[in-house]
Amino acid sequence: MLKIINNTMKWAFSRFGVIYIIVFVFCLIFVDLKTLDMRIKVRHLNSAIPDFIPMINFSRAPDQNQGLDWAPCKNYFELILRFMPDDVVAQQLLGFVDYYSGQQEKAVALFKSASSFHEQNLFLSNYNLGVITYKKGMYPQAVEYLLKAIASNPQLTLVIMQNSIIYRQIFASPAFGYSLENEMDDAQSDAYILLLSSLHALGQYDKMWVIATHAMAREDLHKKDAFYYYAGLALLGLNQTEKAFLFFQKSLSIEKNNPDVYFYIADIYQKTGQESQARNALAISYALHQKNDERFPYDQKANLRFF
Amino acid sequence: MKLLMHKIFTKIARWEFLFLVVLPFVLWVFCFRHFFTGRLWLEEDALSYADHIRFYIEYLSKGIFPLWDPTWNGGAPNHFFLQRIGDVNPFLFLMIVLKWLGVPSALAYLIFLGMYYFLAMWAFYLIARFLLKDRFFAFTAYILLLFSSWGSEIFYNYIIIIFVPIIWFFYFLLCFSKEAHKGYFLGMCLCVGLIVTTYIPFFFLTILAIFAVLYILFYGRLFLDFLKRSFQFCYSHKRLTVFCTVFLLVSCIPALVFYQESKSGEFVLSNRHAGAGSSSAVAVGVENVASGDIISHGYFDRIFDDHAHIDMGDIFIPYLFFLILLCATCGPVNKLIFFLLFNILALSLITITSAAGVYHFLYAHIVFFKFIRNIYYFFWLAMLPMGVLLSVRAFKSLLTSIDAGDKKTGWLMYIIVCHAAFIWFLWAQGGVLAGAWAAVGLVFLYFLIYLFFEKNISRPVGFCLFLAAVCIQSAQVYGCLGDKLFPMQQEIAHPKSIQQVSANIANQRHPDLYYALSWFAVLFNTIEPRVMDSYESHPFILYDNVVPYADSQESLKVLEKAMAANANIAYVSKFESHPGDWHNDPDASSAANVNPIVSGRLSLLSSDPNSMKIKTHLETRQFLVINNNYHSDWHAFINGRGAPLLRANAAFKGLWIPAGDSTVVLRFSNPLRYLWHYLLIALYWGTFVYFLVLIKQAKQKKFYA
Repeated sequence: MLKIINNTMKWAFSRFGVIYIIVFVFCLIFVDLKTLDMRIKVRHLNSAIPDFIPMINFSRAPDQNQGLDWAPCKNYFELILRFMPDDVVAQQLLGFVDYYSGQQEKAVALFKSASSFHEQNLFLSNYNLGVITYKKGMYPQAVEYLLKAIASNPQLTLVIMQNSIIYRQIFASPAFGYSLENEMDDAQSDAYILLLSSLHALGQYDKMWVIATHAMAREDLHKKDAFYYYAGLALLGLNQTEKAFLFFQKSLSIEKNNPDVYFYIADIYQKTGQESQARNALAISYALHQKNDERFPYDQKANLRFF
Repeated sequence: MKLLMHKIFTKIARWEFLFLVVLPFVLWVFCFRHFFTGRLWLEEDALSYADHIRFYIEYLSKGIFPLWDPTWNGGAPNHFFLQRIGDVNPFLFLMIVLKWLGVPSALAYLIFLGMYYFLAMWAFYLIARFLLKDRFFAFTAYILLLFSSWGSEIFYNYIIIIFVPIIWFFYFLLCFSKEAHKGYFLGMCLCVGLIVTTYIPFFFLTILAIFAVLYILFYGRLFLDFLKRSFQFCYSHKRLTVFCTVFLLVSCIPALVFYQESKSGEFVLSNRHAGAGSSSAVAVGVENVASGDIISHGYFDRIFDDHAHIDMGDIFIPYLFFLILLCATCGPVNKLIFFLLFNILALSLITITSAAGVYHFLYAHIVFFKFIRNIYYFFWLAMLPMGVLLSVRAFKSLLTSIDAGDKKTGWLMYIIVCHAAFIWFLWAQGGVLAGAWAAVGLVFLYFLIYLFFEKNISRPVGFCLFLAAVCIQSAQVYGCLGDKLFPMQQEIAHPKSIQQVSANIANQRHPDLYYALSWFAVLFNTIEPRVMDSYESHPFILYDNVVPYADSQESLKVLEKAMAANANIAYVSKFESHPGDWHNDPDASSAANVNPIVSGRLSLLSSDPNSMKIKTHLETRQFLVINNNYHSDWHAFINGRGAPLLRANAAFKGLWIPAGDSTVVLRFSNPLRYLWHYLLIALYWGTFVYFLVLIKQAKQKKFYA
């Protein structure tokens, strides 16, 4: 028996296969396999960095940038997630890409996975989930996500973005000439608008009034006219017509071209028997509607965001 | 049949060369035909080297040895590029011959590249023939290396110019170890001379050192015997030994002079030098090395996939290599296989830099490692050729093992399992090209024929099947490479968007300052590009006022303003000029004469890279600034008398010209230096011719070792 084993060993060690064993042992002893693996991953990632310009341009004007080739960005974010499956930034960005490349279910799953970081809600993922559900008419879900979005700490989102290598690559793109703080304020304003609009659709005027009051009180937010408008709508729903009229007027003092405000003012005039004023307001509303100002209604322009 | 082939190849050695060496090379040329026909262009460093070689050859054919390149970043000494291209290499002169024959210079360069690659592969065939002692296995090794992406490397970088002397050196070394012939000895010296005078010799030194250490360990007795015979040879050929020693010492001089110049601070290579911690401008910062190592080039993880999207610089080895390596698993091993393996492993420890501590140790303790940047070159220069030899040697052992046994069915099962495993592996990878499947099929067919037919059939069929397997796969892979490159190169040549046009113009105007004179680099990084462009558009400027400045950033800002306004003030460094050089004329006009040629004050009589002759006609004494970089080796002569040349406007040449008619001559370097370069070329040519004579004698004896 021993002789057979001895002969077998002798045979095995005199075969070329022993070379593979030597290489294996050599690698175990002399090569820092962790560094090797890490560097190979980095090389893969470096060679997959896409041109972010089309993606940035798309986020600003999706209608004007149709037919975009999402493959380079998709490959890049997928590769990152292959190496770092829990990276919330990559999940969020891949969610954005997946949504606009027609994989909405996958996008929703990714946004859900990236909606919190160390048990803290993250703004962008919750906002994007809010937009998706809002667009599908799933208002209760939209309210839930958007509430999480506005309740999140915007500084946390900013810090995560500023410390993310992927975002640094995006910021280095010549197409990225935006102030991150401004963009975040803008996104938060949009989140409030969608939330107010969802609550309006659900007929939850009391909650709507509370949120509108909160939004109006925040000085950092843009689109104050929208908040006054939704406050007016909330009060209208709560049958506080006079107060609603005042908020509509306040909205008009900031933005005169919103046809919907005139429509509701006309409604108030009509309810209070002021027919001629009601007709005038309706005529203005009609004329403004004809202009097709793309800013109105406020909730129509809300799109997914990655910054 | 086998007998017939043996007779053909043995009786007529040229036929072996023709069928086994030249024919596969012709097929290789077919695979890369788009480069040779000009449809595709050279890429990356290959482009820069082509420019420098063409520049050198262009002027050398006119009898001018270009020691200055006036077009490189405002003008720079050409020593750096001459050292890189190996200006004394007799093979470079092939381009002059082709030029005289009317071949366009771009095509002449490509022919040179192809010929040089052929030379390298031929040497590899000879080495394989020497070590494997069989035409068939040498041929297999040859086509594996020939059709690997080594071939695409010649259109991508410049390692071919160092590979040729290195591989021929090892061939001559092997031949010399067998037979101490004068031709082989001189061949080795000529190769070392070429290695020393081309690029950097440190890759060769490292490979040789590892080879020597392992040779002593594996073949200690043979090494002692080799040393003994070498000393005996030197003793019995004293004149040749002295000549070779002098030849090698002389060959080292340009590199040593260049090394000294690199410490003078007159030129910089800022990108690679950052963090080098050495006074030599050509030293490489350790942080810059990782980007040039084997990991950053993906040689580990891209061997099997992505061939449809292969790019220049990517790795490709025909699948025949892996199949024979896999099938050889049960074949016996021998000392040569271990020797080659340990050479490869030792080199791989260096080439993976940060993933093993060896490189950093060598960088810290061996001076010349501070000058090696592209560590991955070791892969092409030694690891791949040695790997190919190792696999073919293992394959040879396998076939010997099969021949020795009588269990053909057992071997057939084994071969089927190996091929099935490889096919399964490829299938799992996905995206495998049809040519790869064809290659696997042809290799399998070869094994079937080998197992069930006589050698007189299997051997000649083997030549054809292996060539077909390698060629079909390679033709498809390189076809994909061409298809990928063509639109990319066309986009650069014919930009479609305004942004791309502006980016191209910006890149042309402000390329990365890889190598530049220090003061030009300072100016380049300080002055607004718009101002610099406008200023440099005037080759000559005449000034009335010359003021000293302090070479500080603040002073350069003042200079920038003066440049932008074409002010009538030239600035000279107060540290490099005397009060007599300064002049301030309050009555002078506010603007400098930026077009002295148009105003009839100056005419350019002649110019070449090394000199310039100007005729001036001035009403008053004026300061002429020539907007090509100043260097301490430039000398000025006015009406035949030496005149002080100053560094003016931070980086350019400036000198005072007297009133009236004058002839100004500027010359770079001194006549002795030119004479030295011509003598060195003559020495190399003489040695090369002598070598050919000696090698002809060896060939008459037995060239194929």
